[in-house]
Amino acid sequence: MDRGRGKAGRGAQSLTPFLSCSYLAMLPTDCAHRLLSILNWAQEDCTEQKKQLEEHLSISRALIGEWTINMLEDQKQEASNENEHGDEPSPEECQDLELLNKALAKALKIRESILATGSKVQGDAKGVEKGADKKPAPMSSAVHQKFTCKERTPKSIKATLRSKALEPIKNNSRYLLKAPYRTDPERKRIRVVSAIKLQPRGSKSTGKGAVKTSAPHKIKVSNSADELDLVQGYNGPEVMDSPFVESVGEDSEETKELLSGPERNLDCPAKEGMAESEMTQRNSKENALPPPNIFTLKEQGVTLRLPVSYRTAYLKNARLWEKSYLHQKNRAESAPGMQFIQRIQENFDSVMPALSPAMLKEEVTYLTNTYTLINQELEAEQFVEEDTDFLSWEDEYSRLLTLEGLQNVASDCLCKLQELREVAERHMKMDYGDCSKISTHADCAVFGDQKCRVVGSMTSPLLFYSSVQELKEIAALKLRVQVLHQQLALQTVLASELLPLLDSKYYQPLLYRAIYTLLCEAGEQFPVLIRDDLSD
Amino acid sequence: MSRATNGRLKEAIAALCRVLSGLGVNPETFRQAKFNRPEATAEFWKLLCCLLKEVCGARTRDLNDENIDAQIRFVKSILWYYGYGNLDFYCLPYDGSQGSRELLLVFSWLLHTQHMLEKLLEVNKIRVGDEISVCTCDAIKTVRCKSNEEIASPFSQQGKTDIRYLQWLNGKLRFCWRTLHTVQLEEIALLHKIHLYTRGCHIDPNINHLSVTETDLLKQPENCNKLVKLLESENSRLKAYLEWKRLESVYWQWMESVLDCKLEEARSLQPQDSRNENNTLQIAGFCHGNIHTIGEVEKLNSSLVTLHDELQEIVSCRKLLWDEKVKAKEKEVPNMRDFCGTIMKIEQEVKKKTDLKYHCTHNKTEMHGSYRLVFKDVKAGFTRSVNRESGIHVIKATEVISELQRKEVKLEKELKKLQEECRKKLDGIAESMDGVICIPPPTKKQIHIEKRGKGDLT
Repeated sequence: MDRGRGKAGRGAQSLTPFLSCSYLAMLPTDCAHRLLSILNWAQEDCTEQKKQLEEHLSISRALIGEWTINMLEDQKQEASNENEHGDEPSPEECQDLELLNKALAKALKIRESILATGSKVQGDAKGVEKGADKKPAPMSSAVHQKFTCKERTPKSIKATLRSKALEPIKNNSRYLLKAPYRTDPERKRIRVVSAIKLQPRGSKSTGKGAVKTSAPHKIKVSNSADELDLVQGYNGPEVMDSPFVESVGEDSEETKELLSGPERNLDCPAKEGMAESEMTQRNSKENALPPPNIFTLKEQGVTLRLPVSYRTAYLKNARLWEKSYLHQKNRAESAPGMQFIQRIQENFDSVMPALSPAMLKEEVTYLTNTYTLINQELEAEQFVEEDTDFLSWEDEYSRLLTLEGLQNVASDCLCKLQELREVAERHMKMDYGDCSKISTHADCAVFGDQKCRVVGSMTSPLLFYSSVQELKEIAALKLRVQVLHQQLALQTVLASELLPLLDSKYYQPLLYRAIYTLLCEAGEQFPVLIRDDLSD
Repeated sequence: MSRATNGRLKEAIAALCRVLSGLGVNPETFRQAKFNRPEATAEFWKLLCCLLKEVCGARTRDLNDENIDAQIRFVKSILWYYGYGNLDFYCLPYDGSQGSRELLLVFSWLLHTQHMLEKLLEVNKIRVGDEISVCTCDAIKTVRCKSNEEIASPFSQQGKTDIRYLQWLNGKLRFCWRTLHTVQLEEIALLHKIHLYTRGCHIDPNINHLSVTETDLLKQPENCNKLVKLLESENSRLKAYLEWKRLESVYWQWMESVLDCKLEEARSLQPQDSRNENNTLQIAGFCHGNIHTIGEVEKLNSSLVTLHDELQEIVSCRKLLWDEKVKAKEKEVPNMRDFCGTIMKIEQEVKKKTDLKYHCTHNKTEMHGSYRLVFKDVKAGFTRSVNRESGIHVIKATEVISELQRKEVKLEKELKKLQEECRKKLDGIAESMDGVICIPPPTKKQIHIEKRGKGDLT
């Protein structure tokens, strides 16, 4: 509003020369005052909506962009619970292990280059079979199994099995060596992809990551981009790292206790996840880089889990609302207070009108709707009227009866309207309030623009949409309806204020043109006025 | 009242107070009010005022909380609007010094007839989903003048304003709507992305993906505790509501005894009751748009009269034609009984159709309220996944779209009609203008045809 005024002020300065032109089309003071206030109000309303939307938008924007994720509190808690066996390793120990890992990486690298030639020849299917046969029993295998079955798609099982198959003996020692590092769940879980898209790597790899990157994975990556899809990179770190698998396993157990739904649901999206290939890349990439704290929804959105405290509260809430809804549904049947209400209403004073203002409004709305319906039907009827000759007598009779029926409905409405009018007049007498007399908003038409008069359903109704297009259409239509409502209101006010101005003889053509534009063209087009007085 | 009932009553009132917890009511106040103690009065006025303010929404924001006089005026006004018919209530003094029993009765009446608790819970519901309002009720806002505010127009000269400023404002308004639309589009695109990227993350199988609020919760875990606390407090309110529902019959029995007290007292006070007739006629000084309603009634009346006359004319005309035809038919008709049978059948059918259309419109269900947006892939089996028995109400986007389209068409027609009326008047004025010829702009249809014509040529 203020901003608008500011702009208007600036506009005025630059337009002042025009104003000094001889043909001015001025509006009288109070008329201008009313119209400007209405237009300003409409604009304020629109700006207000935009402001609210933009606030919301900034949140969404931030969510879509990169986050630096903080450890969620209860995940931290979960993690620390799991961490019983591990006193945190000292930095020195870590360093030692790092060195050991590096040594191992070298060994793996050599092994890898040998395997690379072999695995290229071997088909995927073979790899799986082999995996099934040769599956070793590392200490985490039970957990691993459970986890895989529960959460992973068959595809991912295949991938993990294959990776296992090709490094059967190494497993134990690897887990052992990595242990201290892995028990630090914080570092593990939050490891995330950097935004840089990884190009398929060749045999180049840095020491630290090499141990973690299983050989076959890497080969796949370097072999062809297509195959990236086959390898579910997402389960890479979690599945292969035993302590972490354990922790995730427990996590899902907890969730399962709460509700068995989510884990089941997970299958489908994980399968279709948009960012699978990127995840695979991340998997290999993340091993090469120090764990960055950057998270993008696009790539890791599916890995998000709501905090336990929230889940519990949410589920409880949903259940309670459902119960309340059931109560509300049967409230008409068994209304314990009915007797009291009847008695109190019997004692109401007789001077009160039969209908309350609220009911009156409802009735008027109802009659207005009926009027619209009749009108529509009549219009449709007149549309067909032209070719009555071709109608069968049955049709013709039925149409005659329909019209008669409409006539009856219309006269019923008129009777009813008469009653309503009497009630409204009585209201006027008893309630002497008047918009123009009362200064505060609180007093005036409290219900004039109430949001929605319908009693809430007490449920959380859902609206299913299947594409962005549908949402866009809804938004566009909603706005359109809103704008039309406003235009209708403006049109009525503008017409009542502006048309009388043209009654006087001395108005400028410019005024006529402006009024024509506003009233007949919604300000979008204007008529052409041609001076004809120079003619002979 | 037996001790057991008394205990249950106490429980019921306590539960009620817990549902109303945000409004700060004390169960003791109810007991005091039964005996019409003055000390309970102020608290009851406050309770009624807060309750109505919360339920009736935003328009009442500017109500001054401190001023008891304003509070009382407000409460009376709304009860008048809802049709509470006991004049004793409207005669209560504006200083809030007496009448706690009457207020208790009023409160209970509101609670039952206006479903205040349900509305209150609904209004304060914590919304964690991405919701969209599907009703167009909130689009209908009465355009009102702000008479107090001085609007300075930069185009004014000696109090007069250039009409071009009006045009400019109008254009600015349209531009404003358009920018709003672009913001909406961006919002929707982002919303959908969030839904898409978080599939499988939600605990509710019907929803399956996270909302903006929920995703933000994960991004900013510090908000999580706040939200959980809010949810928990709502949970306790809901529990209290269920408890209240279980016990409410005791309360209503008790309320009858309160009513008895009042009636008894009134009987004993009858002789001194000097209610002034003039006073009773003017009980409320509030504006509920009475003038507006009467205007609406009048407008509707005149349109209906026109419609009725039009119908009458058409019907009588048709009847004449029909009678002639029937006379001609009678000679042809081989079997009179068959003919009559058919006629009866038609009559019944038409009657059924009309009844259905015009006598059931009260039950017409338009879409109202907010819905949580849920993305469902068409492939993923749409409604099958929803457990219908759980009372979850589901609508599809396509339904909303067609409903909105219907509304759009209706409103467009209305606007066109108004514009056409203005055009007629203005055309008449143009004819009387001296020395000026007015060439109206081409209609949109014409523009369209011209464009198409050009397209054909090239």
